[in-house]
Amino acid sequence: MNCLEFRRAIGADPNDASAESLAHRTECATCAKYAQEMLRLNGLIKRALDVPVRPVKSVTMKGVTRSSPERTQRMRWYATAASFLFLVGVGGALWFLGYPRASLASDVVAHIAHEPQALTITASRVSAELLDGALRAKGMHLVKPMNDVSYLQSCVIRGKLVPHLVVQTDRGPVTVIILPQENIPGPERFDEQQYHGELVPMEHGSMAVIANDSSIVDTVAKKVRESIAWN
Amino acid sequence: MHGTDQSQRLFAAVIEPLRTDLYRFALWLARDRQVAEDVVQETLLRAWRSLDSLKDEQAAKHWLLTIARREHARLFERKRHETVNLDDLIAVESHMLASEDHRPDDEVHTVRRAILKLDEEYREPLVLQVMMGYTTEEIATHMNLNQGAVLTRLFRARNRLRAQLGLNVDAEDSE
Repeated sequence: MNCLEFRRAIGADPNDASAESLAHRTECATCAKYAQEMLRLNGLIKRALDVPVRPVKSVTMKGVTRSSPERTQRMRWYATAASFLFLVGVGGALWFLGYPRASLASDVVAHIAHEPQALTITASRVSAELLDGALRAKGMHLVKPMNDVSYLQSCVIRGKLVPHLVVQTDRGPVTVIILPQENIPGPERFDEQQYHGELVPMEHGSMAVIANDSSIVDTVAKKVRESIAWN
Repeated sequence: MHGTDQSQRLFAAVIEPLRTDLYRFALWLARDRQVAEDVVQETLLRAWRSLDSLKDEQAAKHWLLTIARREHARLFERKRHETVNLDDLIAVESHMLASEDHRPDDEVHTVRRAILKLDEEYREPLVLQVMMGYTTEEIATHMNLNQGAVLTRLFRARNRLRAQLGLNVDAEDSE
């Protein structure tokens, strides 16, 4: 084994302990040092991969049917036929009823109820650089600092990835979801489940501001409007 | 086909304990916690529905990660169609992921950021080898590659990490 072969073997697997590798390591001090570096790097990789795991939402399998291969084949035919009939039925109903769908407020509340871990009181904050980067990806930017943002994610609401922030206030965490695609005619207050909120028109689309304490909603909505501008 | 009670016992005993591994694998594929959670949910549902196709309980982890890989590809494609800025968002979220439990000047933080920047074709075999303890042969089966290609990708993955960390690097051959 020559130096190049050794480095390729160790680069692919730093724990490689083949007879050829071991023999080369004793003959070549440079390669032995390289192998030590790679072992150390591997340890760092292992630690880096070990990211904190948030509790994964539990999946209830009760009532979820399972399939044998024969049943799957048969069910596929039924499913195709049923899907067709369902689509015709739903399409007709939508046409008849004038395209109703769940309200924007309901969709937003359903989303935040799905991510309760975001609404914890925490001292950690999202940096201005990160926040600005996330906003820029959606055609906005920060014009004033928002120092109290503790949570930042892109979330799917009505099929679009949108910025979801949590702002920490002295009256608890407040969720702000910016909805560039959702135009609304004017501000709209809502109370759903235990949440109080407001849908607020923006230059493009709207934003939803939701809190457990309704008295803080306007303050946060105003702060966000003053802090974010469209490109 | 197993009865429902028997299936529930099997699922609880064999699949549930793999949830953390499954989540970490999904997270490193997706580089986004929400997508990873969706991948885990879909994977567990699919695993439940096709539990009868798991012939060897010892192979449950490989079976589950293979399903997760498919689900990730499917979800990623769907999300890609939903926005033109997915790459930008992933870059931002990757930054957050890297910063979660280590300070920016920490060595582990630096390596994590470097791993997040690796292309998926290099990141995935590295995760399988270092985090999941897969052999080269197992990675080859999982990724539908030959072993030579896996060795090349692993070498390149580490070589590119070394480059990002400012260490000396070797020339790379074509696969």
